[in-house]
Amino acid sequence: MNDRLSQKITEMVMTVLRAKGVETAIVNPTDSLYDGGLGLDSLDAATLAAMLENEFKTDPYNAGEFPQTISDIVAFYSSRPIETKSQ
Amino acid sequence: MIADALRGYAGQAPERLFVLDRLGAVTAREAFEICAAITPALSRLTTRRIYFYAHDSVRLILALIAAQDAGFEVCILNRNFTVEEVKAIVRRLGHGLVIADAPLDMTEVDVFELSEVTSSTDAHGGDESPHANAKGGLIILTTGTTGLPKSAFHDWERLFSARPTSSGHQQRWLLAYPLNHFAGIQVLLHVVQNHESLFIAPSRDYSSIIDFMIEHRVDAVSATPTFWRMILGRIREDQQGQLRLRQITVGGEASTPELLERLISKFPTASITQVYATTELGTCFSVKDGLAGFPASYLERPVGNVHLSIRDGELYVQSSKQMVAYVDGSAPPEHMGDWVATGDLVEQVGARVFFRGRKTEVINVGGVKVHPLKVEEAVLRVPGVAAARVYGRPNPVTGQIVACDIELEHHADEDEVRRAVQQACRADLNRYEQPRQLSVVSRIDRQNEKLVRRA
Repeated sequence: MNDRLSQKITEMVMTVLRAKGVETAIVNPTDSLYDGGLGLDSLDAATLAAMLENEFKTDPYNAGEFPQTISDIVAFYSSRPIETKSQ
Repeated sequence: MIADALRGYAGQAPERLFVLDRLGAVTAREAFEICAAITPALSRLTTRRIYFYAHDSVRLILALIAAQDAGFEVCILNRNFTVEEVKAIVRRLGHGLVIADAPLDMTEVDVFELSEVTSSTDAHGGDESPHANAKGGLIILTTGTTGLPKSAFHDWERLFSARPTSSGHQQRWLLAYPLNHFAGIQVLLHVVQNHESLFIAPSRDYSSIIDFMIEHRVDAVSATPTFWRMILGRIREDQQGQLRLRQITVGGEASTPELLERLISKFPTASITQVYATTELGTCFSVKDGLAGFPASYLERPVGNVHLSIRDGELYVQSSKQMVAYVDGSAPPEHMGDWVATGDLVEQVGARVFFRGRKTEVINVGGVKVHPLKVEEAVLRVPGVAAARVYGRPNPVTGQIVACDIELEHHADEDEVRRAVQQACRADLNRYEQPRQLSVVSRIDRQNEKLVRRA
């Protein structure tokens, strides 16, 4: 379950990176999402928040958290029932 | 006023087609005779104000003219309002009676059937009407694309003196704006005053409207940029030569260069006029050079009876043609002395002033202002995009992000258009202006053929 979730969120992060012209083959779930890591800025984080909300109807940013890694995001959804848009 | 103008029209061109709808047509003489017959009957009604709740039709126009002649205040309600909305508006604006084209369940207000009103005559027609000396007036509700509609009270005389002049050619106009819209009334006034013809399409479906225009040789249309984009996206190649537009009028929203270029390219012999008007200010000025925005020289001298200025990036207007007041208790538009704030943001670039969007529609992305119109301009240049709506979506990180809905042209490939839009936005826009959410929708929300930018 967590693997599938982790993979889905990783794909979203890679989509955000591609949109800003960064092609990354490998993204590690424990990499920092921001400076010194994958390099997402506030606009990218805003995009990621919107994508997560579209997919899961809620997102960690809206819940007052500021996840530092993909693992943090996975942990956020693992701790609550997930409602995806397909449900 | 409009009834007097119809009298003049019937005197000079009695057998000319005046209005046509799905039920039939009336000549100027027939229209004048019907109005003359129903005006006395209307005059006996003991109310000051009439609300019309009816689809645009010959009957509605005749009843409207008769009501003006009888000295009533008239208000045409959006026929898409629910009965509950009609009740709420009547309660808010003050009582009158309602003339509707369908039975209405309203106990607190008298309701009359439009068909009965337009077929009624009064044997005592010569008697003095209780409204004979009343000036009457017209109440226009704002579109309400940015909130609750407000109700602007206009004086018929001011409206008439503000109308545009005729080209000299007997034009055949499509009623593209509904009559509850200020611009719809302007088209009607223009047609009556200039002894021209008005055509009311039976459907609001764009492909049907194109067929209708061809069938009735419509050669003049006044409509919003949104309407024009939808029409342009649906004209088939075999229809191109059959649509012979001589007059294209664009208003109600800011035009983009892309739209004007497409209109010029599709209809190279047509005159293209951009009209700047608001429900509150009436018609302010027009531009006929086919370029977006307006000449900066308009800021230096009056344009007709209208003065323009820019204050803090917003267009201010001083006009003798503006509404009398709101009749719903709304605060008057923001003003500085005689100058009224339009809510339209503009920017002077050299000798031209460009519209940047509505003040209320500015998107705040992390403290940086984004004008939806600029983003829409970039998106609308992409082949396959029929319409675009850009708005702010609340976001926990930046406050808002730019969101964009697009409507595709027929047969456009969704994935291809998506990629092209993203590419175009990256090339033409700053990062904070680029849509962070792009959705393909089957139909973009519109009111009176204007985009609704509420999130």
